[in-house]
Amino acid sequence: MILIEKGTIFTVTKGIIKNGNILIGNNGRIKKISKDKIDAKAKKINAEGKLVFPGFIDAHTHLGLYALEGGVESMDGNEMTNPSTPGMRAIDAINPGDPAFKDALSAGITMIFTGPGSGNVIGGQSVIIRTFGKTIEEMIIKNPAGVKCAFGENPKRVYTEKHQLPTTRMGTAKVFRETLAKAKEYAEKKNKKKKPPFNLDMEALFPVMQHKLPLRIHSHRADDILTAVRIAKHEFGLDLVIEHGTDATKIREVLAKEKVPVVAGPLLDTSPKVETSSSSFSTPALLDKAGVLTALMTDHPVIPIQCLPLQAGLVAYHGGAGEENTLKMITINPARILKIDKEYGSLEEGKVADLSIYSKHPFSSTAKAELVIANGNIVYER
Amino acid sequence: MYKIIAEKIFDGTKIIKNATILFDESGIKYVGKGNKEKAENTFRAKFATPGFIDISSGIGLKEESLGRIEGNDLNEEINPITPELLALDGINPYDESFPKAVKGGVTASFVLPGLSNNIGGRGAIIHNSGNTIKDMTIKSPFGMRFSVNSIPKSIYIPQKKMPMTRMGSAYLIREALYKAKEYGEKKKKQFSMQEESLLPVLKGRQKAFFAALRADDIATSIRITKEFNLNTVMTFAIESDLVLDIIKENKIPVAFGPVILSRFEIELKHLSPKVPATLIENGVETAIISGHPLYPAEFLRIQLGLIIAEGISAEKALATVTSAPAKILGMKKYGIIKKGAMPDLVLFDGDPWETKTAIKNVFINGKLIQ
Repeated sequence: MILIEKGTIFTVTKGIIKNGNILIGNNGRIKKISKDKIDAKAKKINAEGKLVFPGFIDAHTHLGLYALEGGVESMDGNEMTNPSTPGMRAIDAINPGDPAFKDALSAGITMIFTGPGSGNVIGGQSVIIRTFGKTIEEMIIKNPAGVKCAFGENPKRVYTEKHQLPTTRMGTAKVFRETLAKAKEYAEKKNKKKKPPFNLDMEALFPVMQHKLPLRIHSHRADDILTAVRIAKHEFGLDLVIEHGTDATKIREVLAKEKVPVVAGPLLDTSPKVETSSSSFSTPALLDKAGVLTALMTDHPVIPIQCLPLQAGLVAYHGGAGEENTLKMITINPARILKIDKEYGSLEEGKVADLSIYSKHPFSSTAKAELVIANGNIVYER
Repeated sequence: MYKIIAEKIFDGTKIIKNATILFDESGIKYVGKGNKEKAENTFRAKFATPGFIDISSGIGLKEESLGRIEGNDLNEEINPITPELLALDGINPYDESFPKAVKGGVTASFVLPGLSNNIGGRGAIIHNSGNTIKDMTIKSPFGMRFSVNSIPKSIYIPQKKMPMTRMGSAYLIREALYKAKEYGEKKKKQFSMQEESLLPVLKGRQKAFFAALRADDIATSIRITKEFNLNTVMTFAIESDLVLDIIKENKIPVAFGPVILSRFEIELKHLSPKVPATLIENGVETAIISGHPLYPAEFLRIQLGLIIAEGISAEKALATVTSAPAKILGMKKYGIIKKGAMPDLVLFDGDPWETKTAIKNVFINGKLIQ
């Protein structure tokens, strides 16, 4: 058991508790949060004058698939030999030895969503993992956790160079629609116990067809976002999350009405492409105000994973989202998008004890995490 | 005449509390405690600093929000030795990065060609505001880009050209410098643009900006520097703390950065805010760079926070983007706030390096830009 005493607790869902105490049970869960003194036989951590936050969650990264300090040899994010590869599994590429996992922990990031890149129209199966562990098996929280898809410039660029379909947005939509149509047929056969000839790619899309997994669709331009909604939701009735959503502010009312969440970012970079030209720190605030469930991403390695809270600081103070709402965008909102909010994303009794202790607000450029606890254990100490 | 009343003024070396700055377009007229002189406009701020200077930048050469061809003029990848190129000819004053940089308090940039070529070309010191490159230019041509790292190799191996090894890179630089030296000594010359471009570097009148990341590449850069008696500045210099002794011994300034960058290449393995902190603590003339577009120039100031978190004082951190880069570039009137200095100024509502802080006003050449 661990007892954190006298800290300012940012619960995220139940306000800020000043001079609060948190008791963590041996099952790795939060046993008690209280303003009053807790008596327990436990390892005591004095958090007087310090700030306690839920473990941060980055809902869109490529962490482990582009292991740092590795160069070309460790680039395993895009199997760009076929524009539709739903059968690819991120867990087969993630290197738990990637030094970026330590970087993540050092900034209080205890959970990430990571997966294939945007080179293919359908890239493969992403996963929710903890940011520590020797093997991928012990890191997995949910696998698969979504199927990566991509619209816009990236798949076009990759396959134009290869003189293959898709070289236009129409081609991308065709690949996407055709794969989903086949997956629908495959799923219908399976549901009628008509055992279709085994197909690994179609098997990967089966849980999507059953609404057990969302499509995670990379799209920047407003029309690309709407193409994603049109095909995935309107034509096939599937769940989807918009990734990046750089231009999403233009159609934020539509996204709010359609209940399509957005994982926004990366923002602390130079806009690299035509389709990212409307990149702005105020996008998350505008989406949030319009009622779109919004989380922030580093898109690691685009922005280093440890800069998730720093980037959030600029969203909060410059983008107009404010401290409280922005904190949600790296805790409870990504947990909701990832559908793990019953267990993670805020400091509440009964939830898994993932938290960090800072002496300064993590949105500050001079802040450093002092102690990080995940699954009830101390996993990082400065 | 404009007046600034600030709670803190960083003058390039120290912080002056509760003081006043008077200036017009011709320069800074007064810095000190209270001044009763009337001004047409008075600005109040928590913090005032000289305009930030971002050196070794690609701003305007690799433009934001444009394609890989349309907006990319950073590297002429046809020949690893191209000293005759001028950054000035590739800079687009309408790159959207310029207004953003100004918004972030970065008033001047030293723009250099990219790292693809072993000798990349000559740079330009510019203001980040203006309609034409002529309006923006402070000094051009200025300096020469040398590149001693893996990038030229990665460019020329697929072209089946030298360099495909580090030996090749050093050979090409040496050969170009020897030829230029010989050219300079000849009385009757047949005009050579390449050699003409290198002559001011050989004479030490123009600085050599070596881009190296690994310690051994920094050492190679300094070895070549000594062979030809160059006036060298190390740029990027990720592993510079590992060869601190030779950097100090040869009094080499370091333009370090970017501080915020994924270590996606093996040569970035050592990247940490601890490195510039070590350089500064050891008295090395250190500037912090954005490496734009690797990291946006607009947020140069945020990188200072990471160095301050390593125990460096606010004054020393602020100097890395003001007086230190100005000194490295030999621009005596820039990067400082004192009588007679350039009226490039930035006003903040808090500590300049903090995410929470907003930039209230930016002055370039004494004109209110923002």
